[in-house]
Amino acid sequence: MSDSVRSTQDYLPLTPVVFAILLALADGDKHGYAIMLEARQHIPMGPGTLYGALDRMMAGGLIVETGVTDDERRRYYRLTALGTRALAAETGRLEQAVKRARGKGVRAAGVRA
Amino acid sequence: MSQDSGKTTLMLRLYGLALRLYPAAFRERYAAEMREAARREQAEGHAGFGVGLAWDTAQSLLREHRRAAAAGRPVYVMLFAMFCSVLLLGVYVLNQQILRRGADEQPGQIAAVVRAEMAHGADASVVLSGPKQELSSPEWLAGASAFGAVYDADGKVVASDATLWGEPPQPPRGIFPVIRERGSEKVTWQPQRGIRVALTGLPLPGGGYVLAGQSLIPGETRTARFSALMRWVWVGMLAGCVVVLVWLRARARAPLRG
Repeated sequence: MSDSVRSTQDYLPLTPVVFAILLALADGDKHGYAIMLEARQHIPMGPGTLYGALDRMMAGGLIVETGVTDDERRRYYRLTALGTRALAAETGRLEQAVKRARGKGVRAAGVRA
Repeated sequence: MSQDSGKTTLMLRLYGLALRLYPAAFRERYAAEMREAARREQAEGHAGFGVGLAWDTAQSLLREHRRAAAAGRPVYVMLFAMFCSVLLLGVYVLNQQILRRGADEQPGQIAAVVRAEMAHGADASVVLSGPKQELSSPEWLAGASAFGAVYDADGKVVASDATLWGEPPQPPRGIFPVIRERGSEKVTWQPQRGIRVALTGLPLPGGGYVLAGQSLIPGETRTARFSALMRWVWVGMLAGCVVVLVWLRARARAPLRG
C-alpha cells in the first residue's frame, strides 16, 4: 500500500518503542546500533526489541532501509514520508496530553530524558 | 584472560546460540546485526549488559515467533475455505446421488415382481390390473406412486397400469436392446419438460421387457431445497473467512500502535 493511501491515524497512538525509533531517525539516516543508543534515552531497548520493531516498521511503511555496509553488519534506515507524518502526529498527540497534564498542575519528575 | 572478559565472551557465545532460535527469515536478515550490536554494547561496558540482553532476547523471541505464526494465518483461512468448499460440494453430490438412487428402488422392486410373476405363467394384463395412473397428472408427478408396463420383443406395449396423455407409456425404443444386452437398465426418462421419470427395465424370459417408473419431481424438489441450503452455508462460510482475513489484516498493524 502506498504512503498516500495509508493514514497516520492507522498507527496512532504509537508504541513507545516505535516513537523512540522514529525520533532517533528524525535527524537523518542511522544504522541499528546508533538508533538503539539514541532510543535508549527514552526507553530500555535491546537488539531483539530494536530489530523486531525495525522489521515491523518497514513492513508498515514507516521507515525504509537505505544501505548496508560491505560486511553486511550495519544496515542504515530512514524515515519515509508516512513515518515523518506519524512522528509529527504522535508528537502533537503527546503535546496535547502534556498540556492537559500541566493544566491540572502535574509536573514532570524522574524521567529518563 | 581476566574473569570478566571470559564471562562476556561466554555471554556473546550464548547470545549467538540464542539467535538461532529466532524464526529463519528474521534470523537470516538480522542475526549478524544483532550480534554486532551486542558485541559493541559489551565492548562499551554498558551496565547490566548480560541481564538486559537475556531479558530482551527472551521477550523478542516470543514476539517474533508469535508474529511468524500470525503471518501464516491468512493462508490457513484460505485453506480452510477451500477445504469447506470441497466438503460442501461433496455433501451436495452425495445427497443428490442418494436421492436419485432412492427413486430407483420402488421401480426396481415392481419390475422384479412383475418379471417373477410372468416367469410363473401369469398374464401381463392380470399382473398390471390396478387402476390406471396418468403420468402427466400433477398428483402422480408430485407423489411417490410407481407404475409398471410390459412390452413385447419389439418394444410395443402389451399391458400397463398407467397412461401418458391417455395412451400407454412408450419410452424410446432404443432402451430395449440395452436392457437385453446388460440384463437391466436404469435411466431418467423425460417425455416433456416437467415430466421426469426414474425408469428401471428388466428383460422377460419370453423376449419381452418390463419397465417400472416413479416421478423424479419430489426427489428433485428436495435436492433443490438442499442445494439452496448448501449455497447459503457456503456463502456464510466465505463471508466468515473474509471477516477473519480483514480482522487479521487490521491486527497486523497493531504492533506499531500503543
